[in-house]
Amino acid sequence: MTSTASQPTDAAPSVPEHMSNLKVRASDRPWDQLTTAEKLEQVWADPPGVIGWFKALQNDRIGVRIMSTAFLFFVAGGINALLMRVQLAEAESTFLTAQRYNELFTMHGSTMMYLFAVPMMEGFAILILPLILGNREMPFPRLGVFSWFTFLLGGLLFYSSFIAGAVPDTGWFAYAPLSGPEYSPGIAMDYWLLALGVAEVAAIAAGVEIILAILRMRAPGMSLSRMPIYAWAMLVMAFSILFAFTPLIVGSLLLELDRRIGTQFFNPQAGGSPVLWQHIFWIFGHPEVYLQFIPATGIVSMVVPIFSRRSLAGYTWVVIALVATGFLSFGLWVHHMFTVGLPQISMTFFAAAGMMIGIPAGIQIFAWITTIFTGRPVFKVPFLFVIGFLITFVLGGITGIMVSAVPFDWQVHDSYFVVAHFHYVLIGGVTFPIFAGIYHWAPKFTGRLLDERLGKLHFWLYFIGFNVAFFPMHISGFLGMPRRVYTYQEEMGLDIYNLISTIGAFVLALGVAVFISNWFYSRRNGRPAGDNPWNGDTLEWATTSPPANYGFARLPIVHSRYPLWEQVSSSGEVDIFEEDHEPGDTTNTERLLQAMSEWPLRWRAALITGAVDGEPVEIFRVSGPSIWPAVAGVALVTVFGSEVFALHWLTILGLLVFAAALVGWHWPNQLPYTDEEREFEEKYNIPVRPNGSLTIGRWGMALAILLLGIALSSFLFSYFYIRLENPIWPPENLPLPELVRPAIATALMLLAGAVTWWSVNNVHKGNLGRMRLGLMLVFLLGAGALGIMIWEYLQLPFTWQLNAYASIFWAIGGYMLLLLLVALGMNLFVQVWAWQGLYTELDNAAVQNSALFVYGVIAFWIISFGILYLAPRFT
Amino acid sequence: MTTTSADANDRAKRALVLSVLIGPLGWGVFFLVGYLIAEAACQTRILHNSVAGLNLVVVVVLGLALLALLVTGGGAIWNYRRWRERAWNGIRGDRKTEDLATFFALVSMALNVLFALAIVLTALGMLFLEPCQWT
Ligand code: HEM
Ligand SMILES: [Cu+2]
Repeated sequence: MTSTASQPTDAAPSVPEHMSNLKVRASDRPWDQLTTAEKLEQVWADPPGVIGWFKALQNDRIGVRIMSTAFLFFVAGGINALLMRVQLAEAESTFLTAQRYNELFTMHGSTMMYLFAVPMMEGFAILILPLILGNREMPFPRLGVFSWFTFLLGGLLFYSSFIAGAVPDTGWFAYAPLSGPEYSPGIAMDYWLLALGVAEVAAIAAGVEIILAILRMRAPGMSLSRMPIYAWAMLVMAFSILFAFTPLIVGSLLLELDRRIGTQFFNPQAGGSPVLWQHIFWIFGHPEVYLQFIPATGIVSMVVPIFSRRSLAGYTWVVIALVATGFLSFGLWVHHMFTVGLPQISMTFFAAAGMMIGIPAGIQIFAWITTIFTGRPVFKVPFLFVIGFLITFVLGGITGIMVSAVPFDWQVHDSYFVVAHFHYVLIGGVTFPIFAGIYHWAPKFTGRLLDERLGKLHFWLYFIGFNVAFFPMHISGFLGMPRRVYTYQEEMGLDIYNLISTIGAFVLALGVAVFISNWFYSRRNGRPAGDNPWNGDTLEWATTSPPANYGFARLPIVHSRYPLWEQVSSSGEVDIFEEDHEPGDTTNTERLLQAMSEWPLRWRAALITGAVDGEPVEIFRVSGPSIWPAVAGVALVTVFGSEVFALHWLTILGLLVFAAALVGWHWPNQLPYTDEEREFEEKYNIPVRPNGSLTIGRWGMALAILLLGIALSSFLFSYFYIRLENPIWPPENLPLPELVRPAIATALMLLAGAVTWWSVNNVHKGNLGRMRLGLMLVFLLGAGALGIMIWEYLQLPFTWQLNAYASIFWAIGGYMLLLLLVALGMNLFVQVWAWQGLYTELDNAAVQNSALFVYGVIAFWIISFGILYLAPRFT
Repeated sequence: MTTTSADANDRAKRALVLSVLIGPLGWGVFFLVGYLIAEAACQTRILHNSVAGLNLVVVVVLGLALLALLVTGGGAIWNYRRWRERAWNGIRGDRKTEDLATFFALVSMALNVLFALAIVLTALGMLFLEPCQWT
């Protein structure tokens, strides 16, 4: 197979320009004396030193950082829980005050729900997905860096509330009006809203990256019908993150505005409604539980087959179950509000979805049990945790069915029965699989296996401790112990159950301590794992442990769902490169991958594949290390953090730095498009994009627009909800909104859209002058629309403080103006680069992507215009 | 790269993805629109007359359910046909669903059935309730 592949890079004389920031190289030998593998290793290496640490962006490194951070927060949340358990161990204890107890359950619940489970799953995905999918990197490594800094600092900001002595105390769902300005003055709730808000931005950023990796960066031949279940689960999770976290961010924003600038969204005296918060919160909160559970089942579906030594039974049915769960989980939010009161007809929607969601869960459990019983199980630690998961989760499911029966819910609502139930689901359904996954994939973190004996000890302490801690809570719940109380009277007869619970909690914590020791012990002394210690079937086991910087030098080819089990050469060896046939039979894809393992070596090349069939589409340059994502993360957290203390000047400074960082982040770093690239394109019939991918860029932009659309829908949902609360609309004799200026602005926007289209059309024709002219016109039109709308808002006869109508009117208008501003800023930079002659007929991704954004903004504009300005005239 | 056969191939793949989404989206739209209509009707005084012993809100939402059922039910039948055609194609056992078209036909069919069921359950519930009575 060596004869055909050209090796143009051997002619490349010196270190490529964009790598000059690598001060220390893997080897002191000159570049042209390095082997191919060494060159690859260098091109993909993170820069050294302290600054390099901030720039580092390799997926395995960022994945581990996110996971470690999430684990840190798990420990912090666990300490909160232990303190609560000490308080509850005996009746009428004075270990904690009532206030401190409120703070602790709020911090515990919020930490676990926002800072632990979801980021943990995302970190896992960033670490392991490129390996499982058989590609080299994540599509936007810089986004991963941004996500991690934002997450870490957002979480630390949240915990700094302890230092400030203003700890949030309204529970993990922060119900209004308790969390509003009247009942929660002070800055505690601002911590909750702003710190967690920024951490949610991090979760969304990682989610976007995960979606794109799964859909567009797989190994050739890995069609959707061959994709490992783990990737399916992560895909469903990532989409759910977009659809769940975005409304929560919008809701948090509205609540913060109520608290800070006197809007009236949740104030019933001014036409608002506290129940609106409950709706928005649970539109997020219910799927939130599933989006922790879905990736957990993804891990389980990877571990079960390997340790049962057979393929997963019912692959297709498991996929069906995952997709169905993802959608159905959004149709259940009201079941947390049964006690609020709803018309019966509305209830039927949720009740039906509630009955349905059991079906996919059942399908998955059935698939795992079948696999286990028809396989030949090996009881290693990862498998033990899976068994623990199955037992616990089934118990939690049973109590879940009980709680979802409406009359029963009224009975046990807000009792310890519910606390027991959701910990069975969350600890059983989420943390057991996470530990299973860590033991399973540890070789891909460190190259070593975790110790089996310590692992077993960890499992038994954790499993027994967990049940001892939480089973008695069912009983204390029945006996009438309400949740969220800091103590109870001796006469209630609850002491013994609570004491047992507390002992169990400490046993569980001991299990976690054993795990931590195992981790540090095995990192040095563990058994070296080799590539495939468990005889796994998926691609991550086809590369070294730990993986090289570039993951795979030569990308595998996939012809089976279980490539390592089924793609075997005639001599019986695993053959994921498909080398075992006559040279004459080599397919085009095989030749391409062979060539790609040796070229390009000057830039980080990865492969884009078809979303459905996984066939090669494009070779592109993954972006390299940069300081800007870290700066952007720090700046964004500063923006949110300074608002906690109402330091507006710092907020503005942070915003400026954030904007500058975004520009630096996307600053073009053009590589010449040389004969080498052209030759490769022709020889292998595939586009080569040394300056970033048009495809990935376009998909990224599409997801960004989707995200902004979800945010707009959340605003509009609030609008309709407030509309229903107010029989007269607009309320309080306010006039109907003025039409003239907004109509002119709309016309300008439409015109801007048309010119954008014309401009993009011209770049395709190579008519760059007209493209630049078009961009300029678009800017002028957009700026005109912006100016007119600002003028319009200045003329409004009311401010946002008047009533809920006024608040939502301003909020939606403000959101639209912000989007317009972003579009203008984007246009400005594209223009500058266009005048510098950066774009050509073939290389103009930024022009096309910014055009997409303009179309998106115009579409949103028209919807908002129709609803804010036109609709009230007809009702 | 831009030959028409490649375009046709792209379109075929897009159709595959779309067929998966029909069921969930049909239910999703029904859910959202139906729920908003129901809330709006019960909060205000519109749609409160009764037709043939049923409250007008219920009639409207049931009509919507019927529409959604046509979509999901149709999707189920269409995909069942596709699946049967494929499944008898001579590919056997587990390998069968590794074939993209077969896989998508099966997934789409099952999702359509599942979400059709969700719609039916919702509609059935409505027949037995006092629509705007608060629980
Ligand atoms: C590590 C062992 C854990 C222990 C000992 C523990 C214990 C507790 C206790 C004592 C409460 C307060 C009950 C009350 O007074 O109402 C609580 C609440 C809660 N826990 Fe845990 N927990 C643990 C792990 C977890 C995990 C892993 C999660 C989620 C992934 C979680 C999520 C929650 C939530 C959401 C609440 C409700 C907070 C609120 O009422 O606002 N817990 N837990
Ligand atoms: Cu729920």
